[in-house]
Amino acid sequence: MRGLLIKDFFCLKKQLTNYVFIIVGVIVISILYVLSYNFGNIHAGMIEMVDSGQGTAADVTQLASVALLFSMLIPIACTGDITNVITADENASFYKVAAALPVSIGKRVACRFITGYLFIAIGVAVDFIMTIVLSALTNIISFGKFCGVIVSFASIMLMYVSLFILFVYLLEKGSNIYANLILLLMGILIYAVANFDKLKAFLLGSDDNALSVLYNQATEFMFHKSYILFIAAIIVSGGTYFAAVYIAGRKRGVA
Amino acid sequence: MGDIKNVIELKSVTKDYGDFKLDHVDFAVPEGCVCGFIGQNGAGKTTTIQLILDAINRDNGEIYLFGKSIDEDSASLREDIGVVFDEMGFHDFLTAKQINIIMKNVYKNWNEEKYFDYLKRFSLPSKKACGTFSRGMRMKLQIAAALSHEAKLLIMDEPTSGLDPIVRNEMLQIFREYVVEEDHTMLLSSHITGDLEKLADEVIFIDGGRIVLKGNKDEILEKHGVLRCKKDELENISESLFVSAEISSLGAEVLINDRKAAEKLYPGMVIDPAGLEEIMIYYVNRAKGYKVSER
Repeated sequence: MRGLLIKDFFCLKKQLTNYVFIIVGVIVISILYVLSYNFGNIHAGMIEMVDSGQGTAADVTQLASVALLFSMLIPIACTGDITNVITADENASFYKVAAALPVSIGKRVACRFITGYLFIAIGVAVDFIMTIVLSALTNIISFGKFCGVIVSFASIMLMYVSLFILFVYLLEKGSNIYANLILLLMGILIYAVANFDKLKAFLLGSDDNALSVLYNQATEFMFHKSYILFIAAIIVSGGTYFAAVYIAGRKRGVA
Repeated sequence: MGDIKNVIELKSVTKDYGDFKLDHVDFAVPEGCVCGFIGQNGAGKTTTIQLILDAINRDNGEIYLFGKSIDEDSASLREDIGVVFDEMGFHDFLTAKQINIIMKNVYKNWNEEKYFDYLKRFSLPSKKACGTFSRGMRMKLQIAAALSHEAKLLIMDEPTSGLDPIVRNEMLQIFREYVVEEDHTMLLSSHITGDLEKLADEVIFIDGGRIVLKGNKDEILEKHGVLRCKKDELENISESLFVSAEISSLGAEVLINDRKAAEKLYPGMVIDPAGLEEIMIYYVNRAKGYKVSER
C-alpha cells in the first residue's frame, strides 16, 4: 500500500508549482493584510468607521475577520489534488496495473482515502501555522476561534473528499468532474434548504441584514460548534470507506 | 516422477457482459510451461487474464493459482505473478527510477539490482519520463518491472503487438531466458501466432469466449494439416477429420485434424503441415458456423 501512496505523491509532484503558488500567494496576502491592519488602509478605515458611528469596534473587527477566511483556500486547493491524482491514474490506465499488484481492494481503497486526507492535512498544517502568526500579530480573531474555523473547513473538506472518492467508485471511469459537480450541488442544496428564509429575503431584497445574519450564523457556528462538523466528518469518512470498499469489490477494475 | 502441478487452473469459468460472454472456460497451465493463448481481437483473452488476476468478478466457475483458489487471498497470490499489458499503465511523467521506488514498496521480493540490470540491458534511461519512450521501450520497461520481483508466473497480454520484428525478437529472447528456470511458467496471450510457434509448449485457442482447441503445441502442429483437393472432392473427406474448408477458383483447402489418418485415407491428395495461424483461422471459421467458406 505504501507504494501506491508514494505513487500518488509522485502524481502530486506534477502539481507542485500550483500548490506552491497558492500557499505563497495566501501567505503574501496574509502578510499584506497584517501590515494593512496595523498600519495601512484597513487600520484607517476601521478608525473612520468607528469615528463616524457607522459601526462599533466589534462590528469592524468582525468585518475584518472575513478577510482571513481566504486562508481556507489552502485546504480547499488540497482537496482538488485528490481529483488530479485520480484523473492521472485514469489517463494512464493505472487501474490495470493496480489490479495486478499484490494489494487487496480494501487497501487500494484505503490508499485513496489516506492520500486525500494527507493532502487536507498538509493544507491544515499550513493554515495552523498561519493562524498562530496572524492571531499573534492582530487582535481581530482569537487563536481558539480561528482554530474553530480551521477544524470546520477541514471537516467539510474531509466529508467532501470521502464522498468524492465514494462517487468515483460509484460512477463510471472518467466521471470525476460529475462527482465534483454532484457534491457541489448537494452542498449548495443542503445549505439553501437549511437557510431558505434568509436566502429568500436576501435574494428578494426584503431584508438588508439577511446576508450579514447568514454570515454571523456561519462564523458563530464555526467558532463555537466546529466539533459537530468534526464528528460528522468522522462518521461520513468511516461510512464512505466501507461503502467504497463494497462498491469497488463489486465493480472490479476500478483504480 | 512427481505429479505435474498446475500453476493456473480454470474450471468452467463464465463471465457475461451481455454483448459478450466468456462461456465455461476450462484450461490448465502446468508449472514450467509456456502457454500460448491465441485468439483474434475480442475473442476473450484479456477478459480471461483479468479473471485470472481477480481484477474482474466472474459469474461462475473456479480459478486456482499455484493450487490455491483466488477467492482465498488473490492479493498475496499476485506477489508471485508478473504481468505485462499491451499498454504500459504507468503514468507518463513517472521515470524508471520512480517506478523502482513505487515497486519496492509494493512487492516483498522486489530486486532493485535486477531491475536496474534490466534497465541497463534494455538501454532504458532511468531518469527520463517514460511518456517519452517509444512503444518498444515502454514494453521493455513493463517487462523489467514484471521480472524484478522473482515472479514464478508471467502473464502477458499481447506484449509483442505493434512492435517491430527486431524488438519482438529481443523480447522473445528475454522470455526464453525467463522460462529456463524450471519453476517459471508463462501465459502469453497473442494473436501473432509466429511468436507463439517459436516459444510455446502448450497452446489454447479461444474464440467468441469459448475455448475451441487446446493442447501440446507440437502435437497440434503434428496432427493438423491442410489438405488440398478439387471442390467436388470435398464431400469425400471424412466428417471426423474435417475441421473446416476454404474454397476458391483453384480448388479447396481443408484443415484436417489427423494428418496421418488422412494420408492413409487419401493417398493421392496433397496434405501440407498447418501453422498455428492457419489452424486458428479454420477453427474460428468453424466456430462461426462456416464449415465451408469462400476465399
